Amino acid sequence: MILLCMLALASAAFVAWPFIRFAPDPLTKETGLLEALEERDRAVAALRELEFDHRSGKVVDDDYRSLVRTLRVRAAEALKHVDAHA
Amino acid sequence: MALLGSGALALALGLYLFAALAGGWAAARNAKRLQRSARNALLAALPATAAATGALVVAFVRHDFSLVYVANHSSRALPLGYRFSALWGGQEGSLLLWLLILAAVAFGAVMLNRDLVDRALPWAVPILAALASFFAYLLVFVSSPFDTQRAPVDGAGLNASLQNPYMLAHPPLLYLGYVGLTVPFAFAMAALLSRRLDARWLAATRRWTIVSWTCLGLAILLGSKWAYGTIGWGGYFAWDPVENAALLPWLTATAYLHSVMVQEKKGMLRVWNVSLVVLTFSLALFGTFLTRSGLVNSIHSFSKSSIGAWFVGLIAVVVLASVALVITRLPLLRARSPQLESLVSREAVFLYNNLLLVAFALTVLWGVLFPVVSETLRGVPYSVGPPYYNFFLRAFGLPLLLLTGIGPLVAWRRASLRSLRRGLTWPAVAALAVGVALIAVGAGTRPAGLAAYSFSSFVLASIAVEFVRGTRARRSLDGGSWPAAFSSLVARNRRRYGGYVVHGAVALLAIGIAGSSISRASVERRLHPGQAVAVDGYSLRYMGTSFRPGANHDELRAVLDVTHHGKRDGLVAAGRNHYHSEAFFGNAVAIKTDWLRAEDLFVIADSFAVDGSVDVKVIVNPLVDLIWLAGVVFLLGSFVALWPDPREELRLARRELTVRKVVPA
Repeated sequence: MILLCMLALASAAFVAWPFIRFAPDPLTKETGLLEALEERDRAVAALRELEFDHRSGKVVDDDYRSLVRTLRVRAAEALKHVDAHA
Repeated sequence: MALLGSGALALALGLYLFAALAGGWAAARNAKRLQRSARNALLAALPATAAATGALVVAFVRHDFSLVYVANHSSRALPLGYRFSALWGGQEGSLLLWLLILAAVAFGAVMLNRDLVDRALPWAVPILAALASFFAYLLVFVSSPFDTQRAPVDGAGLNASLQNPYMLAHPPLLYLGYVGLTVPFAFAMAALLSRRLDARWLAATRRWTIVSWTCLGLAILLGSKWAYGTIGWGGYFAWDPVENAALLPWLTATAYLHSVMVQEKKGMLRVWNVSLVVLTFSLALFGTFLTRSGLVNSIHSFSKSSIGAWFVGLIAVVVLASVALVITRLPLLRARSPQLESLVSREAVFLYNNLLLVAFALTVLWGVLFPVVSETLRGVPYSVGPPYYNFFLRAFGLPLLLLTGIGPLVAWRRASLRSLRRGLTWPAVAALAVGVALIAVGAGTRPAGLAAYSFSSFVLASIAVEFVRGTRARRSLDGGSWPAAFSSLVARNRRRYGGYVVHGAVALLAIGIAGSSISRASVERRLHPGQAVAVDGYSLRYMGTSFRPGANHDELRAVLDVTHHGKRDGLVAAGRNHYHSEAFFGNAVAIKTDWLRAEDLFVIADSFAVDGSVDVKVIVNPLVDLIWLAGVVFLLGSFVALWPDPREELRLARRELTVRKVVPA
């Protein structure tokens, strides 16, 4: 019985192998662009959220100044990535 | 009916198998026509499955005892409502309900995401179909609800415990919760197989996850309410294996709902999120297996059978295949995943909350499995009781409760000490004030209870602070009235503020559990007519018995006159029901609720004697009704979080449009 189970599992793994084997990074143009767009949207949303959190008092001035700088740089990079993929 | 039902099931099985095999082949070969054909087969299986279910329901309604399943789970005296719920009264019907819900969920998920499934995630169809094939195969070849016999005059009746209004809603909700988790699992696996690990599968399955999680949470609460009113021991959650089995996927799904926000906001935790989806779905299958297999003793296992081995096989295949897939896709999942910027940030708090939730889930899982493991290894089934679970509930639950309050007050990315101090001051003051007040009135003798009350106050205060600050900021940006600013605040970020309402429900739940566990009072006496019993300000005088014959059961009651702090407070009637067809005696407890104090007077009456005496147990459960109120608040918060956000839909549509312009299909 154990032998049969092992044989069944091995067969299933063999049959499934072509589907699950690792292939070189297959990032297509579509996925590359999508990820760049997602990164852009994330960066813009993060900036909006930071503005709101600063206004509501959750983020103090010092934190705001340091975070907004980083997020602006990230947003600019994301926009560059979108242009590169588009 | 038998022919229609079994024929429809065979057709459904054929369609599911075609959708699984042809769909898999088509997805691997990118054969678009075959992909759509397989998708259509999956969609077409819903009417076939619904026809089979309809046939069984009609057989119950018409007392068609030529079906073995109908004869074993209903009787002529069974009221109409319970003839519907008899559908899930046994194993075969429960499996059919599982399959029907899976068919409906698969139909909805595929139809609502047609373009995404066609273009990017064609593997979603064969995965959903393969899972449905498993259940359809069991129903056709292993455990059919359409086996026939020579019809007896009457049926054996329905398990008396299931003849309860809560059992009309609890099992379908539970299955909706379990089965709904198939969608995130199928889409996650499809994304891995297709190597399309962008955020589209997350966006497509987010609402399905929240709906499943809400249904599972409500099912657990309804199950607790049923146990509270029916089993008759005065409690609502006994850490029974089947109760635990429903709690397990709920805990990991809660972790996932938090960690998925970190992926959406920062692109982090991709491996962790996919692993949580696999774990949650596997635990949902485990829950079904536990309820149906009879592996462990439980008051909720209404049937025992031999299909346990099939479920073990399915769980093994799901876990092994998913883990193999995740491992092979690790390089893709890890690519471009940013690191945690600070240990004091919202995402870090989510990570801590995830670790605690998963640790608690694994601890509960170990408690459920330990009797089986000990019996296998040592031949003795050691049971794990409430003290084990209660210890870990305190160990993991209290820090989790505190994090529920801290999380919303901490900013994303990083927070300085000054930011933290500003955010935490008022909630900390509220928690301290409650703690000091409780100690002052002598209610702070139990540290865990004191912590539960204080931390819950902290959570409620933190939610209030978030709503007040947010509304003020919105008003300063948009102008207008306070209600308009509040409404705009919630509408602009429904998931966040819906989540805060759910946090409020968690705080109410914690207060309810602490109050009813710590401050509960009870007394037990044998009473003769005219005698009274007193407990915690209540006095109950036994007036005598009453008897009422019913259609399918007789009701014997002890009638007691209640006074509360000297004031008359009406009558309560507790006793036993005798179910004729089932030849079963069931408890009928009396519960008198004081909504202002959220307190229940809970009365159990048993061992009626011919001299008119009866055993009476009276329990005063303080704050217990906050648990049920938490259910209502939880549902409200889930609705808010689920409500579609047009701005987000627009953003996703624009993103897709840009991709299509650049990369045509």
